[in-house]
Amino acid sequence: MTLTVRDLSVTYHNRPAIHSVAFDALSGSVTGIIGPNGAGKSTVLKAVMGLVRPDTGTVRVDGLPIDRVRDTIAYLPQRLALDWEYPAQVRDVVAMGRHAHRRFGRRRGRADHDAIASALDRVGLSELATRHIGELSGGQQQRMLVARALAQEASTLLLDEPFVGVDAATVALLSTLLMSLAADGACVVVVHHDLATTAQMCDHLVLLNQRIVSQGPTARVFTSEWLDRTYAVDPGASGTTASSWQAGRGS
Amino acid sequence: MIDLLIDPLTQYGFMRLGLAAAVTVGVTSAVLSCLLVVRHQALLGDAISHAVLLGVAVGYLFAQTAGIFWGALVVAVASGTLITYIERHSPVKLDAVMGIIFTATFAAGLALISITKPRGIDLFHILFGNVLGVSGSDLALTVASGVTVLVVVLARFRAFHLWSFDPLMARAIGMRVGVLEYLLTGLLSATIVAALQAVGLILVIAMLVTPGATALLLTTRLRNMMVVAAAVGLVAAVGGLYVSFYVDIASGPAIVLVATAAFALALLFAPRRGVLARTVQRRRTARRVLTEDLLKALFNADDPSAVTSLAAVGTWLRGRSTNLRWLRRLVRQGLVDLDADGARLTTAGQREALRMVRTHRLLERFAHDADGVPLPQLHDVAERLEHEVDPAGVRDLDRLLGAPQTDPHGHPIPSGTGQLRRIAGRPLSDQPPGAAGRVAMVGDDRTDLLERMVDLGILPDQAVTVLNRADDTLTVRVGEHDVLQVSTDLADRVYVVPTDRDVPTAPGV
Repeated sequence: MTLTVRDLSVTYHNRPAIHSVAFDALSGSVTGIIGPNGAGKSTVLKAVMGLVRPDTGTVRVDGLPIDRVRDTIAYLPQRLALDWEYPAQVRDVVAMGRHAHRRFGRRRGRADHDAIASALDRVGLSELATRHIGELSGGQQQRMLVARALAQEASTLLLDEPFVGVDAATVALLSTLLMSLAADGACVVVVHHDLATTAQMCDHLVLLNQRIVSQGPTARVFTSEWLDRTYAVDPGASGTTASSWQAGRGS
Repeated sequence: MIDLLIDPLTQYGFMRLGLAAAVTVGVTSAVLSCLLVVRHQALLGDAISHAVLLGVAVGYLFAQTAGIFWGALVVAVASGTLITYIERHSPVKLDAVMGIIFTATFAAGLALISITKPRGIDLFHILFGNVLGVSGSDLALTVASGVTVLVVVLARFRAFHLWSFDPLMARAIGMRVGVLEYLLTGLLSATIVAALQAVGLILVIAMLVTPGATALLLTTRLRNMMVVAAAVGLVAAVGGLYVSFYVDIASGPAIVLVATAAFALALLFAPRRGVLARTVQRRRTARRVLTEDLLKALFNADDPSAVTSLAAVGTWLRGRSTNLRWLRRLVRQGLVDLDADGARLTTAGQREALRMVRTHRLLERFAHDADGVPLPQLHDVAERLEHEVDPAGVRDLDRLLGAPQTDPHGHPIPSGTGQLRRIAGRPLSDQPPGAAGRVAMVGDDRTDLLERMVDLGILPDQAVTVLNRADDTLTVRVGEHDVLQVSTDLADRVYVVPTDRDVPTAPGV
């Protein structure tokens, strides 16, 4: 399972949001996309999923176009993009993960119920299954969204800022969970703004500021030099483009 | 009483037909209203029902009465599409686009009717309904479209559920959300056309919002919300019709007003989300916070059963805009004993107070270690959060932090079983000159002094030696080299353990 992104560009209202972004995310690893506000981190994920229309670029999963494998990819939107007054209980939202595998008119079977129960259990929400989603803390809400991805039994997970407004216990639980999913062969991509937890959790980093600034194994890329260039005021001054992505990936 | 309900039905055929039509419309639009409410699209019903007027006029032009339904459907879907298209391809936002399109189609409908003056169309009835004029064939059409709408919603329930909660995920897993959007527009159009006779174009708007909004206040799942909304729609239809029959007001407005009354009741009395429940909840929380704070104020770490004078308690309570009567609540709850000298915590009260102290200090430790909150701000941060953490949260916090012994000020954290360790040490101001010591803890009651301590580096674990004492200043060496002047005010709040000899225990606040 390899997510291959090449030459991905998106323009919002005549202003480039991301320009010629290229990277690979491999199964068995947690890839972090980091960069300053407005660097286009969320846009990359949305463009990968086709939720915003890219101007150029290709996205392949093991060589297949994304439309062929959508049921195997879980996309977790930013928590605050959702309406938490919505009438749903925790189990309802987690059950939505099963929708990716639905067959029209088929009732939910034992496999579905098992997947839902085990997903709730892995994020420690079994006891809150019948709570209204608005009664959860921020950390519990985020855990519920991850449980939904687990219920989907996705082999690729794309998470948009999963740790915003989330308690430290949940950060610890979720980063451990994501790392163990990767260890079991999943391809995990996390958009992230907090550098502190990044280095611990991600074994691969993509430094983004509208363009790819650098990428590679965390140990090599997570240096003050590269981070300074990523967070530099003028993104154009420090960019490397698609042509240099291979150099950046030298591992 | 029963006769009052049955007589109209047995005596008047139009009441039977009208009731059946009103119930069908009430239930169908109520179910759809749930989808509109959770999608924040309550005004979509508004927009489409105005557009339906144009459809009615056009349909009548082509095929008289038989064309009304199809004309309405086509124009409704077309205007829904137009709204989506303009919103996507211009900077104008959805609400403005809806406002433009529904008034435009409404105006066009009125214009067309005023030109062609169709004999089969009574504008007043189209706008406001005439449920008692429902014919057998009208009813058949209404029931058919109502059943269709309900069957489609049920068949696609999970898809609607997912799409309305998280449209991004719906698209990400490859659901064709465009199809759902058109489907919803189509269902809405069919419902609105079917509702023409019963409540009319203008009043169906209410039936496409009010039952769903009412049910949202009463339920926590979409499925239950639809059932409750349907019940509200049913009650509104039946209730409205009887009100209309006996009080002699138009049926459409009567139905809408009954639904509105149901909403008002839910808004006030809904068990968890109603205004009343929220007020009670807020007051309960305020009371709990005051109780917990008062217990903490009465608590004295050195002497847990110490007596606090009523004068002091009264002053404290007046500072929180209340008075000594508050103390009686705590006595009733068995947390405080009163005697001639004043108030003293009972064993249960001490336990509660220790629990609060534990929560407070764990939060300070967490805010400092995990979030980097500087020492002087810690107290306020913890004070704000301490009432929101439940016992499970406290246990998690303790485990996460590795069961810390002290907060960042050096104050001991009571154990989960309520044991409070004493910190050995005495105020820096009592240290004899020349005696070497180590800071065990610093007082946190004066933010300004705490800020000064942070500036000077006089913090727990720091080595300090008093070099010289004057009336109100001490000269101290901090660490290896720094020689500083500090006020006795500050020195009073720094507790020091001598490093060269053992000392008796000293206050642990």
